[in-house]
Amino acid sequence: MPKETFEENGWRRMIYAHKVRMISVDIFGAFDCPDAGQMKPNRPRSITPVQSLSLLNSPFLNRQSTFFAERIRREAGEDKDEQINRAFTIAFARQASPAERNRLVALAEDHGLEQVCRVLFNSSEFAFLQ
Amino acid sequence: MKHFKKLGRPLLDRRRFLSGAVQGLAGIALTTLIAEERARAASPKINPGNPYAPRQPHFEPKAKNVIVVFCSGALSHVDTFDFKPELIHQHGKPLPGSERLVSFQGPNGNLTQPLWKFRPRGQNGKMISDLVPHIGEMADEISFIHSLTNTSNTHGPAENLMNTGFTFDGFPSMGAWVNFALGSENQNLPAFVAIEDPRGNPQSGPNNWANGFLPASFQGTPFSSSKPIRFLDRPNTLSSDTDHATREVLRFLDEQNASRYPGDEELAARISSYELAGRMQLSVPEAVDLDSEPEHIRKLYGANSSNEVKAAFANNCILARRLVERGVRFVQLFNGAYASGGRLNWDGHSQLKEQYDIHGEILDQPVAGLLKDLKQRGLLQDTLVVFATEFGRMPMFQMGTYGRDHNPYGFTCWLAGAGVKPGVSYGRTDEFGFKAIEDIATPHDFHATILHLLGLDHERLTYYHNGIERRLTNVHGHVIREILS
Repeated sequence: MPKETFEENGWRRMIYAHKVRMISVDIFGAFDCPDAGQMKPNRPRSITPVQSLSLLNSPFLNRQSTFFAERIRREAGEDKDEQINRAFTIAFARQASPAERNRLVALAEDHGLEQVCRVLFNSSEFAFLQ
Repeated sequence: MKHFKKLGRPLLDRRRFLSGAVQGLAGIALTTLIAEERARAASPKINPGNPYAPRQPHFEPKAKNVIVVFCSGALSHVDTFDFKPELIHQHGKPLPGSERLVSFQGPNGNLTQPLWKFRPRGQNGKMISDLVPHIGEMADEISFIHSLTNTSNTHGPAENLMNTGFTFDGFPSMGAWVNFALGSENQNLPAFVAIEDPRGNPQSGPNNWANGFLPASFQGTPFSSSKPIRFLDRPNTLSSDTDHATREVLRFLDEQNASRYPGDEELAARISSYELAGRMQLSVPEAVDLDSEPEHIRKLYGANSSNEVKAAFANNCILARRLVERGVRFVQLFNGAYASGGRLNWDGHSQLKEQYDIHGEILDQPVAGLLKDLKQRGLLQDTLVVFATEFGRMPMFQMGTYGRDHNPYGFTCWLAGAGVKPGVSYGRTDEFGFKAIEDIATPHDFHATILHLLGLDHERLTYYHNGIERRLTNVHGHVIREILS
């Protein structure tokens, strides 16, 4: 069965995992993760609205955003500029441009740091290696 | 040559020269053949940035959309659409020539007459049983295929064959192939929707609407009138203002990023996929909202029934029509769930009469209502309605039970609507409905015919995977021209 809850007792590093054939994993399934029904030497790359919906709205992604926000507060303190710098360093390995920093600081102030993290997890720069 | 021989073997002798030359030439010939074969294939090139763009079929299509009603669990043909008077005459006697037949669940008992009375229906007097009287009213619209066969007598693999062309898991479903071939007329809704039965999913589950090795864009999106698309709505802890602000910033970041890589289609596609997701958040609830349907339409489908499962399936049938109206290319409409001893689907091994009385009530009026509604709106001209199941059931009762075992040797499916010759019956089973004996049809023939109606040549619609130009019909299939209008 696909995982429905993401409690602490299920957190461990994965070296190998059970893969149940033809059970598509919620988030990965939309991202061309092979269903293990047939050999798949090449993985196609699809871009679909169902991916966008699951990355925006799934409990998993939103919970990870909360964790990411907690980490940033812990490491960067309460200063919003510092928080955005830290978040960009971790997520993109670069500094935010002034324009980016302004938009994200405003988002953090009005709607919370969790929303900044939700944006970063959804961003193309996070999803793709260029 | 002497010094070459010091290496242990001659580098080039006459035999090696000849064999090498022949292999080389054969290789060149083979390469040419493969190149010709691939040039003959007429599969679409997919722009990952716009995978659902409408694409041209191979030739002028008769049908634009398809609705597949799939009866999971194996609907008994001898109790519904395939009338066998000989079963009544020889009721209680063994099946001649197969007296000790052992089938899927074990030994069979004696021939058993249909459990519902057959009556002539429509202008052409097609014999159809009282289990499906409403569908019977539409007999003149329907083209029956009485000679389908399946290579598997087991629900999961047999469903796979009917819906993907292969008994194994992992091959693209018919809807995925069609979505891949033709794209979508509606950019605000998924192009391929799998409507789940209110009682649960069929035995082989999501493999019935899988993309297999085709890109994930082409997989069916499962939802129904009672079960929404997963993750369609924003988390309920967020206000719409917050959600909106967040998505605005996301769009800004993605545009900044895309401007650093001009010409990167995937980045542009990602931005538009978030826009489409936003439009789907509006258009899917609108399509699923059946409150706007007038009372007489709800009654036509039986959506006003006090039987909750029937009402829910009727709502799914209305939803199928609404999706087709909105340009959704391929809709699968499941009737019946997984293997459950016949409790939740058509797998009537032991108490066929009692169970089918329940299931028939759920199936009959809603499917007939769908046909009637499509017809009165003129949608049946562009829409192909496919009625299918994975196999049929035995003309005998199983030894010691009141039900029939699996029968993959002959069973009935039907087509109606766009491009189909109405009111005909194709193929025939023997006098007991045991085996197909005339114009025997395979699931590949069935698929080839459906693709043909959509303007697609099943031999040219291919996808290169694992060294093979794969097809929905594997290396088989002939269009059943006798049932085309």
